[in-house]
Amino acid sequence: MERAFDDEVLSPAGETAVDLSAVHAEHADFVWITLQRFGVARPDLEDAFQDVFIVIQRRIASFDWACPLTTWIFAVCRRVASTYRRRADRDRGRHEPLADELTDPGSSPEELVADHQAQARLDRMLDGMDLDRRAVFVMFEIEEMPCAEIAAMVGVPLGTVYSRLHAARKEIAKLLEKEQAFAARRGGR
Amino acid sequence: MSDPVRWKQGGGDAPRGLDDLLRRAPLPRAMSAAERARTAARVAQVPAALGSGIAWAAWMKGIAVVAGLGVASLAAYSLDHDRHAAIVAPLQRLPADRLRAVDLAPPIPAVVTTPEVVNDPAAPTPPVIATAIARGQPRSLGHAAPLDSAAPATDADTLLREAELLEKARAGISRDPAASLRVLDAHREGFGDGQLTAERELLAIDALARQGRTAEARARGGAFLARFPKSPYADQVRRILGTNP
Repeated sequence: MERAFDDEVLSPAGETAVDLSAVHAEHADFVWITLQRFGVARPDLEDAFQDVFIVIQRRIASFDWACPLTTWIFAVCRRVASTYRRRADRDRGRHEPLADELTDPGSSPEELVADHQAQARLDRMLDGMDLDRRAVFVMFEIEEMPCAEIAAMVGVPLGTVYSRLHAARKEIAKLLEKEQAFAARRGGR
Repeated sequence: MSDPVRWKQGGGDAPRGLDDLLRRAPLPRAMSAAERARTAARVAQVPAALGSGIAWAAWMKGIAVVAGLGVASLAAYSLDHDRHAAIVAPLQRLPADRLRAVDLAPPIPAVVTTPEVVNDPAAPTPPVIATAIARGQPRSLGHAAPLDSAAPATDADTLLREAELLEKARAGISRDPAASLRVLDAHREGFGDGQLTAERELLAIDALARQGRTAEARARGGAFLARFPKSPYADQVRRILGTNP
């Protein structure tokens, strides 16, 4: 199905010519969500999104169809997100997400604040993680995707997903421990 | 092999407190209609931007070829007219003013051996877009489109103006759906059946429903589903109208 679509999008020879608008129509949601899985923040999302399509335009010729196009796009998103992550490290704190982006508008103010704080804490921990582990962790623990689906999307064996998830859990447990120790020290002063 | 139990469902050795954080964590946010439109407009200009960059690279290559040929010609000329000195150190004896002349020489089409560079009408276009992309600056391709792609740029501009209106409507829809509806009416007047008609109708149906104008919302929703039965927004419209199976 996807291949049939991609045959229409790409030139018959399968080389450099690519109808980016058609790729956008088919894969925009995937790119948008994937960039968030890798931790690209709201203010950078549209620029990062465009960068992904610039890379697609430039590199589509090197795509060998050994995997689904989405797997390749996933890898492109990872590379782009890595750049934006470094940039975000420099600009940390310039943006706080809006409350109405985060939660159900029907929530009480207390719930909104609690959700906001919880997300800020989780984001800090996720930002400290390796990108590949982070993506697997987010897809499994937050989006509740089955590991087999994650493996197909990322383009790695199922065992690799399990090992990344295991490593991610260990990593985030350590980060949480550090955070709690820091909070305890501050509270003890 | 079965998947491990998720931490937020009490699985494994979830550290204390983390299960709660995970339960509160929002899913990655879906694209709004306006974001979809804006990104579509920007993506539509990517090939032009890269084309301009390629043309610039080709142009620079042409200059390098001209300069190289110029230096070679001058070296040959020098060798021809100063054979004895050339045997020892030809380049050291090359007159400085000739070298400067080579540096300052404009690219002469007659000498260029890559005709596609000369004949490419996009070649002299300043590489504004490509440079911006290379530097990783925030994008503003809509303002830097090459002159020879005026028609697509106009389309993109229209799309951006449409998207801007819809973004305005979307941003205020929960606070003031009536005001959003006025913005959407302005879109309908200004663009009619524009490129974002489906997005506009979705927002309008939502705004009507939020105001409790259920009958109007249903009528407009029915029209939407009749006109765009396969739209990605069809399910959303059904949900708003409460008719989702």
